[in-house]
Amino acid sequence: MDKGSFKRVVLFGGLLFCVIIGNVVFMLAWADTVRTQDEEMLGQLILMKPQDEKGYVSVMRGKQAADREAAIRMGRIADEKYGYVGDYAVTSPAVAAFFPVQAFLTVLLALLLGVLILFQKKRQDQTDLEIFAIRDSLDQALEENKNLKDRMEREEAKTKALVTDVSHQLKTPLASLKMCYEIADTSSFTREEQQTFLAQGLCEVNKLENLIRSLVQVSRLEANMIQIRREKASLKKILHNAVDSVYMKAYDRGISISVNEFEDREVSLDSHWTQEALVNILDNGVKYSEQGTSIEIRVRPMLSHYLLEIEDEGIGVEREEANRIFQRFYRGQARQVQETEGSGVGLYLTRKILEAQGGTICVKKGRKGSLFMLTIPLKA
Amino acid sequence: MKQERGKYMSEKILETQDLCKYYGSGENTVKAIDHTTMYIQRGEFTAIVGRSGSGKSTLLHMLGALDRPDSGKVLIEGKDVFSLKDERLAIFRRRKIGFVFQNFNLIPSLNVWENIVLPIGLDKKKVDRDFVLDLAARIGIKEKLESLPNTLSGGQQQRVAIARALAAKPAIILADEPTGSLDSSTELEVISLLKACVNEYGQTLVMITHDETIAQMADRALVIADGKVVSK
Repeated sequence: MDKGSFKRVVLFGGLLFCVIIGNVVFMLAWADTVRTQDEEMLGQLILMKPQDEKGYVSVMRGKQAADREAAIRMGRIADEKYGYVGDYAVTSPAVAAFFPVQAFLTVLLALLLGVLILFQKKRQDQTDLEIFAIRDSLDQALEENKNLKDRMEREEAKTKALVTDVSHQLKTPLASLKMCYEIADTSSFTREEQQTFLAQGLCEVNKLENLIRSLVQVSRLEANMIQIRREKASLKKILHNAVDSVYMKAYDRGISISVNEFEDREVSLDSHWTQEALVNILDNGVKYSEQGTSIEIRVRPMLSHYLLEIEDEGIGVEREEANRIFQRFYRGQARQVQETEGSGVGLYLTRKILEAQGGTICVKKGRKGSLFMLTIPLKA
Repeated sequence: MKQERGKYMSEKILETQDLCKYYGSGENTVKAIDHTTMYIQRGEFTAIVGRSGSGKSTLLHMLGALDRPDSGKVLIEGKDVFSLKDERLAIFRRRKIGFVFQNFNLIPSLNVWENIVLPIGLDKKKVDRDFVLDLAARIGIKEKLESLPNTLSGGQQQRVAIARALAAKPAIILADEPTGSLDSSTELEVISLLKACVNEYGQTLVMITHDETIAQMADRALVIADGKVVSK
């Protein structure tokens, strides 16, 4: 019981107590008044006819053996005879004096009852609402429980899907590797031809190795084995390292990479994985751009995030594909993409890494090629 | 993928069944929502993409139980919301849903903190002070808690609106063009924030937008045209 309702109960109880006490006092006073009135009447009668004193006393004190009904009839006749007609033409002073008090008490009691009923009604409504809320919380708890189960099932399904995807990715290079070795093993080819197939085989092995490296990353990420460990880091340093690791490739193709000057504010990032995320974007920029073009990186601290814009002058991303390039194993339909080696994992990883650290990524049409916009949270 | 979706039908947190909402009558009837059946999965960030006038705001208003449909049902966690009496519907809505609107809808005479905790007060719940302070810090408005909304930039005002939507920890956040009046870099920042918060607190985010770039950042995008949902 809270303070408010305790107050209300005390108030109500007090009022009820007052009414009851009032009633008792009222009844005592009434009885007293009636007795006094009787005594007065007895006295009047005796004073009028002192010789009948004994008879009056016995009448007034109810000791008279005369027939009660006959007495009432006689009284009425006497009233009518002297003009006191009508039901309430004569009212005993005792009744007249106490009638207003009686009426007041009745009204007060009715009011109290009314308030009690209204209050109970309100309470009931409130309780109904509370029951509704409790049921709601219960539903929520059940729902949460179910969700947990569902999430576990989903994890399982995700793992299964990953295994299917991975084995599918491995099939093609493995098949061609197998073919190379079978052919190399056939005696009907010249030694030179056999050597070529062996070299081709080695090439496939390298491809497989690259593929497996990215697959391992993906599966670790999916299985939550990659721990993104956020710690105090420098975005400038991370960006510097990322540019460094694609620099030679860009240099070979005559592609310039520029970064604007920016204020290096404190960030909480996993340096290794964030660098990996940036390298994936830059690597695509280098892969899918003509020789002699440039890649521009613009960094700007905003209210709660850094905004990174990476703009290249390459083949760009078609609008219809923009939604899909961040999906696992999706590779662009453009000729340049299809002709280039890749596993369709890079941008997927990038998105996952950024999202795990409270950032995000999207791609837009740039001035010439594509414009990747990334956010990285600043330290709160 | 299809199979996977089918398997998790049970995880629908929000669902419409044959929903209809028409405006006007006779020849002037506008079918804002026309027999739409769709669902939102728990924990996902779903973007509802459509041009202006495609009925997407009407749909969001009904998903949030702000507006009654002409026919059809809206189920939130399996409960038919329009079968509830108004008073109960209001409670249910306050507990389950946080709203973020394009024009922020902040109360100008209340300071930032008061604006954020207002819905919690309406529900007579206790304010989780630490949580709200943490949220404000994350969202970058910690220094502005004493300020009045009209002294803030648009981006900051929308952050306040986001904090207000998240403060009561509702299961669902419904956002109607939340970045419609912001520039594109602030837009990206605000979406990053919404996404990160919703992710961290395990909430479900439904965002109405006409901007396809936002759809890229969503887990799932629904396209709506002429009052009908064309799943993507």
